[in-house]
Amino acid sequence: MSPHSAHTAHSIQAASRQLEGPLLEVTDLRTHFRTERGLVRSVDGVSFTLDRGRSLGIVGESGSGKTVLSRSIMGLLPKRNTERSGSVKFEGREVIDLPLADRRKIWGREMSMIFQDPMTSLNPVMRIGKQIGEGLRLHLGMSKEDARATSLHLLREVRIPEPEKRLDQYAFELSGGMRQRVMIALAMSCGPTLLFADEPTTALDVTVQAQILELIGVQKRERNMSLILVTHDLGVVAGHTDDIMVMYGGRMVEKAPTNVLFASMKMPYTEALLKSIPKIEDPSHTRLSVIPGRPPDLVNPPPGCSFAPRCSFAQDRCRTEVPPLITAEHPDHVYACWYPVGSPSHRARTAELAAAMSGAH
Amino acid sequence: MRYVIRKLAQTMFVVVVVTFVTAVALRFLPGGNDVIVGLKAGPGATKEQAQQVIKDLGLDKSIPSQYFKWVKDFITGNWGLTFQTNETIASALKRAVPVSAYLMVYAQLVALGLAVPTAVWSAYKQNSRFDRAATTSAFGMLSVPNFIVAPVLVLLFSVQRKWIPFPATYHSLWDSPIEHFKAFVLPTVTIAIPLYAGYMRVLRADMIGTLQSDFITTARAKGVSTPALLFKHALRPSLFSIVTSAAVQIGALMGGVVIVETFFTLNGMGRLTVESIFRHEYPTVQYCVVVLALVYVFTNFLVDLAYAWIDPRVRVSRALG
Repeated sequence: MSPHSAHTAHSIQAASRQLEGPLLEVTDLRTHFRTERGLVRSVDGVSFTLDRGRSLGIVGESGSGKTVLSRSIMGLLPKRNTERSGSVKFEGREVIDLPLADRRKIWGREMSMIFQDPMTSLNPVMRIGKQIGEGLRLHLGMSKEDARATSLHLLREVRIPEPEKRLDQYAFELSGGMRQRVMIALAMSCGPTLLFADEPTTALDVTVQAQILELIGVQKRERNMSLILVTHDLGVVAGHTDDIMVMYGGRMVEKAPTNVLFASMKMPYTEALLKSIPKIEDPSHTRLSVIPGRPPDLVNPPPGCSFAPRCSFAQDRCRTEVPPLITAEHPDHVYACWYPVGSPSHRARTAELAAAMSGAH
Repeated sequence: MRYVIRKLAQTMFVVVVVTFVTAVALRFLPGGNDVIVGLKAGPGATKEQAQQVIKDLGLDKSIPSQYFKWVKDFITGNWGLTFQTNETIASALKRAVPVSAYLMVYAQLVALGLAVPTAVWSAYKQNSRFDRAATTSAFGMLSVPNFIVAPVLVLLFSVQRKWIPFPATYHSLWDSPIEHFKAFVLPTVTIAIPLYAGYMRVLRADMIGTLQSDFITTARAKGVSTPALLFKHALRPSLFSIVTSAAVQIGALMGGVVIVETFFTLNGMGRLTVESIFRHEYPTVQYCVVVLALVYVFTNFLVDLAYAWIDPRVRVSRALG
C-alpha cells in the first residue's frame, strides 16, 4: 500500500462518519487544579460549539485559561490534582471521561495540537522523520517504509526546503520556523478533524509568523479541518479565524464572528486588548495603551465581573454581580458585561475619561 | 583519528604520573625495607642475608632508578615475581582482575537493571505510593554500610537457609557456572544495593525533569502509549547523570571493594592491592595502579561514546571541535 492510498483510505473513513451536528460541543467545561494555595479555577464554565471546517480563535492574556481550555478539551491534562467537569462532545460523542486508552486513539488522529515553542516541543534526540512517522505507524498501521515516504510527503506539503535531508536530521539542526513546520507536519500527519494551535507563532521571528499562520490556514482549507487557534494577540486571529472568543479569568467574556467582533465589540476588555496592539498607521513613538493591573487571581477571583478591578468603566454593580452572557444584535455575538461598549453609561464614562485626560495635559 | 591519538597520549600521561606517585609514596610507608626483609628472609635473618635480599630486589638503588627499572620491565614484559611469594606478578593480576571484573559487571548489571525501570516508573508516578516506597527504600539502602549488609545476607542465605555455601570458593564461569554464580551472588547483591539506590535516585530526578518537557506533551498528544512515551521518548534524554555515575562506579569497583572482597574471600584487585601495600610490594602495587588507570581511561572513553549516542548534539560539537 502506497502512503498516498493510506491517506485516501483514511479520508474515506473519516467521511463516512457522522457528519451532522457540530464537530465540537463544549458545555459548561470547568477545569480546576488543586494546589497548596487552593483551587485554581483555570477554566470556569466555558460553553461553545465549533462546526466542521470552521476556525475559532481563543484570545486572552497569560493566565486567562486559554491554554488550559484547549488542553482540557483534548483531555491532555494529567489527572492528578485536576478536577474537570462539564461536557465535551466530539462528533456527537462525549469524550470528557474517556479512559486514557481511548483518548490516545483520538490524540494525533482526530484531534492534534501544535505547540507554542518549536524549540522545545520536538524530541531533541529523535530524528525528524521518525517523530513524524511515529503517529502514522501507530494510528494508520503503516510500515516503516510507508511512514517514511508519507513523512517526506508531509514535509514537502509544509514547504520545508530539502525535505529528504530533513528526515534524518535532528531538531537542533533546524531553524525555529522549520521546526514549527515540522510540528505542523507532525500534527497533520494522521489527518485530524480538529487542530489546536496553541500560540503557534509566539516563539517565532516576526517575519516567519505570517508564513506559519498562512501555512496553517492553507492546510486547514485543504484538509477541511476545524481549527482552534489560541493566542494572546488579537491581531493574529483577526485574519485567520472565522470566530473569535475572548477569555478572561477562566471565563468566556465575548464571542462573535470575527468581522462582527471587530465592527462592534462589546466587552471593554476586548476593546482594551485591541488598543494594546501597535498600529502601523500610528505615528512612531505613539504610546501604546496598556491594560493596567494584573490578571485576576484564579484562586480567589474577585466577586462580580472578574475584569472589574482593571476596568475603567466598572461601576458598583460590576463589583458585586457576575454579568451573564448576553446576546448582542448579531445572534452569534455574545458578551458578558453590564455596561458594554456603546451603552449610554459607557459613552458617558468615555467622555469623562477624555475630559480628564485633556485636563491633565 | 586525532581523537584516538589524543586519548592514547592522555592515557600514557595518566599512567606515568600515577605510577610514579605511587612508587614514591610507597617508600614512605612505615617500616620501609625492613618489612620486606622480614617477610622474605624470616625474622632470624642475618645481616648478610638481609643485604642480599635488598640487593636481589634492587632496593639499594635510588627511587628514580628503581622506578625506571620498573618501567623498563613493564615495557619489555619482564614483570617478574612478587617479592614474597614465588608467584609471578602477571599471574597474581591474572587471578585478581577477572574476579573484580566479574563482580563489577554483575553488580552493575543488577543495579542498573533494577534501577532503570524503578526510576522510570517512580518518576512517571511521582508521589504515588510506589514512588514513595521506592525513594524511601533507596534512601535506606544508601545509609546501610556494606559491612552490615554482607553478614546479614550470609546469615539469611548461608546460615539459616544454607542455599549458598559460605565462604564460597571462586570458580571460573566457563568450567562450573553454577558454582561460579554461587560464589558471586552474595557479594554482588551487597555491592549492588547501594549502587541501585544511587542510580535510582539520579535517574528518577532526571526523568521527572524530562517528563515535564514540552516534547513529552507533544509525544502524548500524538497518542503514543505510556511505555513508548517513557522508554522511547523520555528515557534517553534523561540518561546523562546515570551514565556518568555508572562510569565512576566502574573504576571504583574495579579498584576493588576491599571489605566485600575480604568478607567473601574473593581474591580481587582490592585485596591484592591492599595486601601488596601491607607487604611493601612496590612493583605489584604499581601494576595494580596501571590496571586501574587503564580501566578509568577506558570507561571515560565509553562514556564519551555514550554521551554521543544519547545526544546527537554532542556528536556535532565533537565533529566541529
